[in-house]
Amino acid sequence: MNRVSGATGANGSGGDLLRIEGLKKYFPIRNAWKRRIGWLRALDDVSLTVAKGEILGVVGESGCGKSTLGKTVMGIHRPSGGRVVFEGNDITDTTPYEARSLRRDLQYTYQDPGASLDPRWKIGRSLDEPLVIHTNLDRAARRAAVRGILEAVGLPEGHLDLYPHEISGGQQRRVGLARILTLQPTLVVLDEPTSGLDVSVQATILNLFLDLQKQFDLTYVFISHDLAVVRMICDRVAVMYLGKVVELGRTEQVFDRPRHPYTQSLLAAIPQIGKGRITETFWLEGEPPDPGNLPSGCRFRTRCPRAEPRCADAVPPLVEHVAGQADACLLSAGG
Amino acid sequence: MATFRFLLRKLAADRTAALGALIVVLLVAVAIAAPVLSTHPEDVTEFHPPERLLGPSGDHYFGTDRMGSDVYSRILFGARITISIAVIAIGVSVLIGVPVGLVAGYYRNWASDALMRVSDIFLAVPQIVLAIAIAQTLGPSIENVILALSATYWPFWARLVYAETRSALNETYVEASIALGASPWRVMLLHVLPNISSSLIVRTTIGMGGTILTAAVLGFLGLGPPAPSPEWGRTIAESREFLPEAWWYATAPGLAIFLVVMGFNLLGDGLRDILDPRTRRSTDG
Repeated sequence: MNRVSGATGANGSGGDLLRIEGLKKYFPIRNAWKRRIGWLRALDDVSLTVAKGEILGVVGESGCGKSTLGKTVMGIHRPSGGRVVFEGNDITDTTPYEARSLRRDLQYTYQDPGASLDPRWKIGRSLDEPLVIHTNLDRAARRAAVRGILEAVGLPEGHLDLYPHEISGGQQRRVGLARILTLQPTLVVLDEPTSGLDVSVQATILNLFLDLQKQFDLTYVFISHDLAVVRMICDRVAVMYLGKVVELGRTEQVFDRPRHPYTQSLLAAIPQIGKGRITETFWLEGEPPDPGNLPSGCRFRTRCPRAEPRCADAVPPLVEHVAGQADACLLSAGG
Repeated sequence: MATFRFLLRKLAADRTAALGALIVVLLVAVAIAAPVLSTHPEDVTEFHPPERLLGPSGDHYFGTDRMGSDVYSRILFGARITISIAVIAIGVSVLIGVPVGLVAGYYRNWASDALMRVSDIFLAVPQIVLAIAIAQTLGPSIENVILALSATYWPFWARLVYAETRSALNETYVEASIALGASPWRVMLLHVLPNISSSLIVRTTIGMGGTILTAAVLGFLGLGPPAPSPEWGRTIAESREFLPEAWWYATAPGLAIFLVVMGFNLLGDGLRDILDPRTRRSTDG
């Protein structure tokens, strides 16, 4: 896997499919009279690139902005700042409908695929919808395309006439995937694709992702809080904390030699056979600070065991201190 | 069609709702078959002064009115007027209110705010007062009653659809379609509208009862179709001066209004229990 040369993925590979530059998404916080009393900075100056063919993992605690990142890139949320460049086109301020020809190759799968299917529509109709929106194919051609995809994700044809509530969670996941694959996208944002599935189903679904990646030449952005899964299938990984990327690099490097204290604490939370109990190794204390009222300087300093006075002064930039791995920690620069 | 059969089965199981459905079906049947069922169909327009104010008998089931016309026959023909007023007025309200609510709910800008403020203004005035004012200004006729009712009823649908659309937009499947690149109209008409249709059907059914009542009030106040129309509200108004001696004269149309309004309300309540379980009646435990 030498598709990726640098930590940011851009250097030398030349095949940037998606480039995110300084992306911001602030949600207004309003009081009882609907007056804005502050901003919730769900995404604050996030820069990433995704190279063609790779799987980029995005990990972090709940509420760190993983899903917001995916949805802002997709145009579901309108960004507050920054740029999103997909296949060379700036799609920053466009809605999915306005830019449907530019966004056709960029698709998103929902965390809860059952809820993402219209409960009143049969599976077949839901699978047909993307083709109706994006293509001029006639009914027969669309049916053929849907059948082909159904086979690729391993669902029987009889499911076309069922309603979403009539199939299992794993099957809903396959339908959710089939729905966007009918468009033959190049980049798929998978939002928590394994959550809510039992372990055996998880494994089959992950294998399905990898098979489909080969078959359709896909690139994935894999949003997950399941570090074990991320380690298994991702080429690179971005660690997010309160709307910022704190560490970004090749998966094996980040997992073997994490540099940012937050990454270190996250990785210590993975249970491992033969090692101490999590309670003994896990030293991350307390809750993350209120995202509407962030600490100055480094956002992690309130929970960081190595925090120093200077951490409160400036926001540490994401810097590639070792080849293939960048982190945003002042102490990492010094040591 | 499967859903329709499911609905019928559920309705049959709920005794009060089934009664409501029966009354509504009977009302429609009576209105259609009025010429056949009535004993004196010509009495809608003809007078027989010598036979005025006769009590109920085998020839005149509900007696005769001040002009000697058969009350029973006139009530049957009155059903036609009531149904056409209610159906057309509700239809127009739905046709105005639903698109307004959908568009105002889907978009979040000044235009949608403006639409909702306009409907708020309509809702701020009691509906009956506004309807009386409009009907009074336009003059008494069926068309003007329909106009007055439509003009005052559409904001109820706009409000309902607006609120339902806003909550539907928070559903993942709606967001998923938007993310897929679906056009606003596609989202509104194919995803939002079908998913809010059950509460729409419930409100429309209950609204029919309210509309019939308001139409009767307008008729009673002389703002409905002019004499000799057999409209129920007008008939009650005419009968007042002959009370309590000619009790049948007021009772028959009063009973008709009562039954029909109750029928629509029972049916609406039953439909709500079946289609919209979130707002179940507390009585059925």
